[in-house]
Parts: sequence; C-alpha cells; structure tokens
Amino acid sequence: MNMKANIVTVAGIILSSFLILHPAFGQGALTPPGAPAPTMKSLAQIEPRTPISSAPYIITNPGSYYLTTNVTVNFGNGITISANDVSLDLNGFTIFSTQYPAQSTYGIFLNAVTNVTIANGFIRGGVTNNGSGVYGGSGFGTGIAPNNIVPNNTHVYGISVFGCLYRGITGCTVVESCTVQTVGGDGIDATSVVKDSSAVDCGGDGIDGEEVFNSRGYSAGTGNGLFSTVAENCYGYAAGSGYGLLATSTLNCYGISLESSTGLRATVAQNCYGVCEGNFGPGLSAYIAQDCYGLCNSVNPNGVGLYAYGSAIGCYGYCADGGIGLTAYTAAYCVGDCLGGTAISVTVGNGCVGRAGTNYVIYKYNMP
Amino acid sequence: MAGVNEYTSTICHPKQSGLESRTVNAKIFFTALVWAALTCRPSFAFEGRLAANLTYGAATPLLYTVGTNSLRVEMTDTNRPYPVDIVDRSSGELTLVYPRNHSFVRLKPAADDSPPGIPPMPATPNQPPPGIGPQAAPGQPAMPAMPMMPPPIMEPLVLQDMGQKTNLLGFVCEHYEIKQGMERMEIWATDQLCPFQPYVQNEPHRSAPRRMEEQWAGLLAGKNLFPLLAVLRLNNGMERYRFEVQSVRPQKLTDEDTRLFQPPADYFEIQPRPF
Repeated sequence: MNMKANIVTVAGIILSSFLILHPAFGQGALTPPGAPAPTMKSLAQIEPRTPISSAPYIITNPGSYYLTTNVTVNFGNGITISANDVSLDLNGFTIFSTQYPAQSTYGIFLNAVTNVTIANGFIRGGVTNNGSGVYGGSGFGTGIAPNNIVPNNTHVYGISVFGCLYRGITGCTVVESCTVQTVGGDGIDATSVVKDSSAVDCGGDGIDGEEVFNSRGYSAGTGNGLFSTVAENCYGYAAGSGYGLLATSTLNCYGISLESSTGLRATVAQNCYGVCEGNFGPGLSAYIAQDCYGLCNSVNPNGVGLYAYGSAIGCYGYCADGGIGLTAYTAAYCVGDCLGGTAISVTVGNGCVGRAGTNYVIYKYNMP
Repeated sequence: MAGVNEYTSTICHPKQSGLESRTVNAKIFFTALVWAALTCRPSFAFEGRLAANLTYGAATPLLYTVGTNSLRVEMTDTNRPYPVDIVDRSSGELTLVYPRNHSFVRLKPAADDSPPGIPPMPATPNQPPPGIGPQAAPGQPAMPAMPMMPPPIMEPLVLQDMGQKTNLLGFVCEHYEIKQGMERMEIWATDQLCPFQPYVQNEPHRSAPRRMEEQWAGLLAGKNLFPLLAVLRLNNGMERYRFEVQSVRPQKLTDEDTRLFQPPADYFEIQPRPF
C-alpha cells in the first residue's frame, strides 16, 4: 500500500515539474522573421591598425600602426613618421640595420611631426665600443630622433635600443621604461621627463632630461652619467672625467665618477651618496646638502669627500688619506673623516665631529 | 682715423692732388699705421700655440692653437677620446668635435639665458635671538658674545684688479682676484694673447649649477684677457683648481694648420640637444 502511494507521489512530482519549468512551451511563431544577420567582424573592426611588415617604411597618414614581424634595412632609415597624430606599436618586434659603416640614419625618424607615441619593441644595430670609448660598426646612427629641435609631444614607451653610432633616443618629450645600450653619444635625451629607464655604455651622457626618475645613466666615455634639472631615485656613473650625476635638485640619488670629477653634484642634494674613485673629487658637491654621504676614495692631498659650498646638515664626508673629509661654509651635525688630513673644514660649525684627522673650524658651536 | 680717410680720398682722386700732396698724405698714413700698431690690442694679432696644464684633481695637458679668426683647444696625452673644441672668434660659435664616434656639434654662443650662479645667502644677524646659541647657566659667568658672523657667502663674482704686475713667459701680466664664499681665485692674465676660452668637454645643460671655476673664464674673456696662471683655493689654503700656461710659441700658421679649425670632412654633424 505504501509502495503504491509512493509511486503515485513521484509521478505527480515529475508531471508537475514539466508544468512549472516550461510555462511558455509551445508559444510564439515557428517561422523565423528573416535570414539571420552576419555576426562576424571585419578585419578593420578586429584590428583597426595598419600593419607594417617591411622596412624602410614611411608613415604619411595619421593613425595607428604596428609591426607584424622583424624588419631589416641595409641602408637608410627604418621607419619614417611624416604625419602628426601617429601611434606606432613595434609589437615586440625588432628594427635592424646592417648598414656598414653606421651613418646618419635612424631606426625611427620623426620628420617634423607632433603627437607621436612609439612603444613596445627593439631597435638594433651592430655598433660596439672598442673598450677605450671609441665606437664603430654597422647599424643606425640614432635609434629614435626628430629632425626638428622643438619639443614635439612625443612619448616613447618600452623601447630598447642597442648598438647605434650617435645617439639612442633623443629629442622626445617623455621617455618611459626604455633601455639604451652601447651608443657612441648620448643614451637618452628627453626634452621633458625620463622615467624608469636605463642607458648604459654611452660615449656621451648616459641620460639627459629635465626631470628624471627611477633611472640609471652610465657614460663609458667622456660624458656625464646622468644630467638633469631634477633627479629622484637615480643612479649616475661616469667612467671618464664627467660627473657621475649632475643635477640642480636631487633626492635619493647615487653618483660615481671614476676619474677626477665629482661623483654627485647638485645645487640641492638630499639623501644622496656621491663617490669619486679618481684622485680628487669631491665625492659629493652641493650648495645645500642634507643627509648626504660624500666619499673620495683616492689618496690625494687635494681630495674632498663632501663639499657643500653653502650648507651641510647631517652629512658625512670621507676622504681616504690626505685632503678633506667634509668641507662647507656652514655645517650642522656633520661628521668628517680623513686620516692624515682634515676631517672637517668649515667656516661655521655646529655639533660637528671629526672622526679622524684634524678640524679647521672658524666659528665653532657645540663642538669639542 | 682722419688721416686714413684723407689718404683714401687722395688715392681715389689722384689727378686732383699733386706729388707733394700725396707725399704728405702718405706720411699721415704711415703715422696712422704706427699709431694703430701701438694702440690696437695685440691680442688679436697673436698667432701660434700655447701649452697649458689644467689641474683639477689630475693634471690635464691642454694645447691651444690660436689663429687669427679661430681657436682650437684640445686635451693631449689622454687615454680617452676627449672632444676637441673649435671656436670661431668672430661669431663665438663653438664646435665640439667628437673623435669617439666621428661626429661634431655646433653650439651658438650662449645668450643671457645661461644658468644663473648660486643665489646669495640671506644676511645673517650679528647676534642670535634671545635663547638661541651659547647660553649661560644660572650662577655661571656669562657666555662670551657670539662672534661676528662672516659676510654672506655667495657675493656676485667680480674680477678685481689688484694693481700688481709681473712678467710670466715674457708677457706682462696683471694680478686679478675673484672671491666667493670660502673660495678665492688668484689670476695673472695678459691682454697680449687672445680672449680666454676654457676647454669645454660636453654640451652644456641649461640648468646646470655653476661654480666659480665655470664662471671665471667669462669674466676674463669679457676683458680680452688670457690667464697665464690661475689658482683657486679654499679658505683653509687647499688648492682646488689650477690653470697654468707652460709655454707660448708664436708662429705663423700654415695652410695645413688652418685645417685644424674645421671638423674632419668625414665627420657627421649632429644637432645640439634640443634644450
């Protein structure tokens, strides 16, 4: 009896489920209203950009362009942009030059244009440094450059340049996340901002810009490592007699010079570190230095660790042997260190200490 | 000058003047020449070579080749491909020639928008406010008065003639001095060579800070002076910078020498930095 009742219950549930789940079953016209419209997109809709598959190539119309493959030129420029309002995506590909010897050619040449963005790829030549700061070989003269010298609202992003004879990336407005290596002249010259970039093995200046952030410049020749108006979180290295890092205002920066020039030189330096490995220095030189460290690593009676020709506050200057650890017009809470030389040489000193060496202080306060 | 003009006028109209008149005019002309030779600045007549040492840490030998219209400055005895400077003396245009990658750049003479020197520090009061500085504890003898503070450290650079003369390498040199902050530069310079041109290693940056050693050359050149000896010292006596001419060799430059005032033909001209 119970079993029969269960069967009836289950059957009722199944039947009711059909009624509940398909309330509109059998409604509406069976004849379709017409032929179905095409759902596929056109090529222009899927990729609304103009492909570039060979070089040399000249862009003469505004728009968006992209590389579809690696391209090589054996003479002349790689890509010339002769129209305003152009976006060029190298799409991870490389523009090569095999021209020998490298001459005045460009990987990407901006022919008197404005509003240009270049991104994501490589420009490559075969120029090398012979080890003495002399560059030669095959390739482009310059990686990216305009022919006009006015700021051209150009943004270069994610580009890597290698092996050019004259310059890496020059004359652009903003250079961001770019790398340059082995160029005979300046690595990166920007009319405005350089950010998150690196230029190494450059015959001229490594990086030169108005505002430079989080970047590294390295001159293997006679130039300065990094040269700017404002530098923040930067590293500058000069293998020759240029400045490691030269700027008007620096914050959290490091500069090193291997020959007789200054490691880091600024008008105002804060939280910075300057080193001179040559025979003079100073390691760090500034008008106002705060919380800075200057180091002159060579043995020279005229060497200076930290030289603040205005004020030094909370700084440390070290000179290896002979010379002066720290010299300033006014120094407060500073330490000088120079075995066999002058630890501190200041006109006005307040709360300063000489760790090794003698002190030369004309107006002394809170000092032994 | 009147004599020269008169002579020119006579030559232009020879038939209107007799032999006697021409003789008189010729005398006036030669008198004018002698007067001009005596009074004109000999600096523009010097032609030849100067060897100098720039000691800014390491001693760097420099060679100046001075032509009538051009000047070449180069670093010698170096293991690096340092640039060569070529100056057009009439226009002031400086060409930096880079052996490192066979290129050169032409730089127009700096305008007045060159970066300013370091701003002067504000004047310091002679006495600190009450409670600031050395204080006498109760019951203790009074602390000595604060010493007079030194003058502001960054007074404008002035080339001061010290009124002394000496002879260096056969040239009469006058003694000048520049002071700023804790630095003092002594200069012995002559007007018998050419306006001074310092060796320039890199393209200048418009906002670079400038120290005394980067400004003194302009002061000298403005007075058509060339230093035979210049020494910059800190107030504790330490020498920080020295420019010293080792030899001066007047000589007529040959046609081959004049090629030194042009970049090599196979060098490529690059544009100056756009800022």
